[in-house]
Amino acid sequence: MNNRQTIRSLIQQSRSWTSSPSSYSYSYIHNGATIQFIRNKRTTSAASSSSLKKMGRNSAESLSPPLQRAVTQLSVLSARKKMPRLLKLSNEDLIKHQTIEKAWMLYKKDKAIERSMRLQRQYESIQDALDTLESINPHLYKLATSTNGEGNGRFPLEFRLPTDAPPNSEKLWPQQFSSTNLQK
Amino acid sequence: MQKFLVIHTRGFSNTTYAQKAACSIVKPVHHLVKIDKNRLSPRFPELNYSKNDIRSPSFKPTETCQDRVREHYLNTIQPDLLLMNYQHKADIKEGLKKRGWDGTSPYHINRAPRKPKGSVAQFPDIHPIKWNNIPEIKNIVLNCYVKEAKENQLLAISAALQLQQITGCKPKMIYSKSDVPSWKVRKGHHMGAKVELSGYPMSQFLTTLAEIVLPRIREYKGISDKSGNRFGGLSFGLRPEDVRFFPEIDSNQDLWPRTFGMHININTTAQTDEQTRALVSAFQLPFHKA
Amino acid sequence: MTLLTPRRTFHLAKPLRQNAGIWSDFSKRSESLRIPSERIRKYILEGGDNKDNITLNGPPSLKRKFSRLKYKSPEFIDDAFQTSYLYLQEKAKIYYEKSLQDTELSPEGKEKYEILTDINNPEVQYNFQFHNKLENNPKFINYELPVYRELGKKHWESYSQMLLMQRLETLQVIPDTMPTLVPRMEVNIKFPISTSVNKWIEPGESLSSNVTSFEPIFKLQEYDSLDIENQKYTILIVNPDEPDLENDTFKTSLCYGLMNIQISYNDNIVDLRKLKGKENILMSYLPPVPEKNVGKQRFAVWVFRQENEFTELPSIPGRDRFNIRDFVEENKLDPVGAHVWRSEWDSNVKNIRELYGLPTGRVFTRTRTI
Repeated sequence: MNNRQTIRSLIQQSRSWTSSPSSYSYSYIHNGATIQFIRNKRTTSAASSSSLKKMGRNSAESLSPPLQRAVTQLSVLSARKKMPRLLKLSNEDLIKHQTIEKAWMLYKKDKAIERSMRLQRQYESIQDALDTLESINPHLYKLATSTNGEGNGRFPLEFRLPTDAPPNSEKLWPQQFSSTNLQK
Repeated sequence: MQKFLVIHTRGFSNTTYAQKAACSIVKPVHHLVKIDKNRLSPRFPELNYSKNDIRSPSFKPTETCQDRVREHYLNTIQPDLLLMNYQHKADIKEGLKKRGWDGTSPYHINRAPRKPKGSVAQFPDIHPIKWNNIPEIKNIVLNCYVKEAKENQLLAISAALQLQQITGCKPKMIYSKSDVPSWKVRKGHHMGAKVELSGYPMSQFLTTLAEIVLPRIREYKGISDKSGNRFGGLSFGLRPEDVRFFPEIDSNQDLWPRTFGMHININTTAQTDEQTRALVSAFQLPFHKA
Repeated sequence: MTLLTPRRTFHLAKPLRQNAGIWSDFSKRSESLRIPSERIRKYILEGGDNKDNITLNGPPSLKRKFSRLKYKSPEFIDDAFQTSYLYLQEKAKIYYEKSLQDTELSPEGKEKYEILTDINNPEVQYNFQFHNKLENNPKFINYELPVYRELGKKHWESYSQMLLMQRLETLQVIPDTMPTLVPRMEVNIKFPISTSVNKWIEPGESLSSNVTSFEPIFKLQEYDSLDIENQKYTILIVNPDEPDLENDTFKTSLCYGLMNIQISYNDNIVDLRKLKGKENILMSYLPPVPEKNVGKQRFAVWVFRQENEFTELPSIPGRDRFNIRDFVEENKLDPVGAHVWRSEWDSNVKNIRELYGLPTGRVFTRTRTI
């Protein structure tokens, strides 16, 4: 159900209207004005619309406040308002755009490969280190690989996402921070 | 064996008998070229452009600004998670699988396999974390179900708008699936909205939640330490009064006489709950031990 | 994001020096890899605000002054383009050097590197995207170069090939004439007589007998890399819908047969007027003259690669009851391309029959069967 239909059904529910099944039109009376629906398009009869104009308001204003509010909310939600106009590029600019896109795509791909290689090297060096430890000192190896229960660990709450402008410039870096102080 | 009537000749004078199929058959294709019918249609040629082509009507620019959450994840969290989840000489832990029959009875042939031991469903294998399967957040789904919407449909619209205001993404309406007489819910009623976030909107929402909303909640304990759905998902909720702390709502208090609580589901590629919680804790979301 | 974000203080859009990179070095590379129009080339490579373009006030591809003045390029597109261009050129350089240095490289490998060198070149992309790909001018699109062949093949596969295969299947040209087709060559036909429609025929189109009264010309576009100077082609046009009243079925007749055809990547129009003598003609052209009430007849064009050149054309008993599958098997032909059009009886068929000295055709009527 799209927004327009929702609005219509809301209006229909809140008003009593008389329909004539023989034709595709129906009408209902509100505030003395006759509002007509013909094939789901709302039209106002000439007499009533002129009377509305005299009263200095249109029919949308005459909705009850909560209903009017819902109508406004639905119009905010509607997709039409978010659709930007299609950008038209000249041939030269289209080629430029495609080149930029292609370069950016390849650049991202390169970065991803680089990152993956780095992680792989990290993994292999952890593996190497533990293998060496096992051969040198089995006791330390046991301690290093023992897990307490599930124990993967967590990131501490102080682990912050970096920002361009830190919010508190005085406490830029907690110099005296230590996890033992925190627990006390 | 079924027998098919095969007619080898086409008659010229009277072709009706040739067209009578003796059985229903799918018309064969005599070549291997894949045909995309939409591309052959002369209508709407602009729809033939791929979605990431700027000439396509559905083109959407993707990377329009820096995503500091994503960058932080790739630069810092990912290597840390690899180290935290490292297990030496770890093997694949097989999940529960359906069991076959031993073949002692002739009735075992073609019989559906037995259920896994102690479970109804099968479970996936758990692979050791390596450089190529480090957990990451796939998407976040916000789900806003309004109980009172069964009496007043306008509330569901407000809930949808609230989600849009908070996330900047278009929400999907949700409707009740079935009649529940005890709750006075009828099928097909408009009951609220949900929105699925990924990419930049997801990062934006995560930082807003962790840096602005959660710290302002009075006596907020954190996400339960037992949360998790065993497959990398994690859920928690926000109460209606907590939602008011989102800056989009906070700055327009008059417009929001009523706010709605919501469920936040974080879906990750982690394989166990512990991995999921470790990942989520990196985004400044607090956990509490019950 | 760092790649695309230009810094305001640092204007990158300086004119590129000649021979600055491999893409602007034409001492060893073909001239077709460059945009022939110097104005457009400068607008793309050096940005809209260069000295020559400043009088134009806009992209030179827009012809009207009004639209040039009205047009606005996206902001900083030139700066971002410069960075991207240099980045892509740097990547292409690796492939270029590989294609030059590796002496042990197979021809396919060399071609692969040549494609990779130029596939992202904006000049090549401009030349290909905005010029006629079917009637190509070698100044813009030179199919001798592997990169243009690659682009052409992609373009062909995105529309024309699918259309052809759909028509061959729905009109049941496969399997009524040949069992199947693995398309490797773009075949286009045209009836270039001034009285007829002077356009490339879409596969499956119904043509009037007036249009098809003289032999068509063929355009055989190869995209594969092969020894094209020694490759010979055979073209056959068959009509599988000739009524065969004795056996109460249809028979196939041969309308046109050409053999030992020689083409090149760019000059690939097969026109009988251009062929030297009659040594290529296996069977002379007989235009479609469908008899009244036989319905639409299909005329399937088949193009084959020959294994080697025929010193003597194979002899065939006649047009009638031509078995194309046996002929292909006997002469070791490899089907690579096809086309089809349809013809029906119309009031002009009589004139065509007179022109070619054919007997007046039969008229089929419905008869009551018991």
